[in-house]
Amino acid sequence: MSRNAKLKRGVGITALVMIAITFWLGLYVTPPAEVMGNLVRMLYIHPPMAWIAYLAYGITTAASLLYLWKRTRRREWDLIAAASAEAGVFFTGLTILTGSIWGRPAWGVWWTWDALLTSTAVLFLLYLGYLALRQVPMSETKRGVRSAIAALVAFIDVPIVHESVYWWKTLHQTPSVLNPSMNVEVHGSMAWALLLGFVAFTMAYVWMVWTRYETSKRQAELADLEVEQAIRERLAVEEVRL
Amino acid sequence: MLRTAVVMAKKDLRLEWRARVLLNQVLPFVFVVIVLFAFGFDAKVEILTQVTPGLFWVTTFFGLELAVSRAIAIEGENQAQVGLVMMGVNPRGMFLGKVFAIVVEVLVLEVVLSAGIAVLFNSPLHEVALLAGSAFIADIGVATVGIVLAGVTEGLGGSLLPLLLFPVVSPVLLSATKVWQYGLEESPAKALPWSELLVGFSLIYLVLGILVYGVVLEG
Repeated sequence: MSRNAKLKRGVGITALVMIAITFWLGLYVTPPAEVMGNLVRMLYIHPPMAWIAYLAYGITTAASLLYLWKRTRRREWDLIAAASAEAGVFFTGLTILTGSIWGRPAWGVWWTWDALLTSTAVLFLLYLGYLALRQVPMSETKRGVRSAIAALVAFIDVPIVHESVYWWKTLHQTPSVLNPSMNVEVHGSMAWALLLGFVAFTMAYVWMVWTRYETSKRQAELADLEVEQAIRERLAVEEVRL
Repeated sequence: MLRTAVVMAKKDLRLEWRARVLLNQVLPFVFVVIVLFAFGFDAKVEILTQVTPGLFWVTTFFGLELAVSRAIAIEGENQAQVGLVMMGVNPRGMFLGKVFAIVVEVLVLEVVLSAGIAVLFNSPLHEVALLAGSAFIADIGVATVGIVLAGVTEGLGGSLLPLLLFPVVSPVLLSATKVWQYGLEESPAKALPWSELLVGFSLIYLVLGILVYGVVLEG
């Protein structure tokens, strides 16, 4: 096994262990909250998932920009953008799901057309569209350029999602961690569980993107080899004819 | 750049005038949508009056999407776009020209549509300047991002454009709907924050479109 593969496996196993510890801390060690009671336990995983979604779309946008700029245009940026967007969609889906499970006992509904929820759903749809665009058969460069532009346009929604709780005074509370003053409004063992959740899910995201990127790169290299093989075979046939 | 924009806008408007796609296809289509909404709300005028702003903007979005698709499709015929790029025509000028032509076409559509809605949904139009101004700005917002995304999805099937476009322009449509709601309720002061949001998003999309359209043509 190469050093790279060992490192990736290490990241994956660490992420898994840290997620397990987050669950253990969240379910058994931390006390119920004063107002929310046991419902607070969902919050050890819900904000970290939302954070990963932001991070993933940020990475997709940065990689897309690097791909669009001709000096830095490399296949790798396009593949990283795609891998990160896939992880982003996965974590956005989980954010909506965990939020919905929390919302049922807290608000009495699985879903409400609150500004934050709606803009998150729009974000989910935006990147589903981005992934749908990538699935359409076309040349590699064309796909790379077109999806990079779509990623740039889609990223405009990310600040809207984050700021919607301030702009529209929504039902959803303001962020306890990623707030403008960066003043974390969680304390004691609860803060440690939440912090661990953030680190654990970030590690999981890194492992997911890394694995997906390597798979996509191998697929692209295989496609290149197949094209080269087809050209060689065709040339051989032409030579025999001549 | 501005000269190219004027030439491009004239060309697109002239093509539209000759083909009459707006008149023959888009206008009848938006009226079908209005009638379908009326069916959907059981033709109850009191409900239709309440939801008029939303219905207006959803219908306008469909019209805009058709106009944007057409604006890009006409450049695909006989590889006209390739010719323009090869001749070194300023892409920003091309972009602005296309946006201008679409906005003019959709404004015509909106005049007819708002008159139709006022009559059929029993929604008298108040604060006309506010309604018209917000419609103009929202059209710019949707047309700019629409042109970019129509370029991105060109030749890739018709369902991708609405899938990408609608979520992106939803803040513009939402703000425009709120401005129209307060305009129709004769409360223009309440429309101010939404107007600011509308102008902000439309400007962001306009600047983004101007910056990336050259790359869209490359792709």
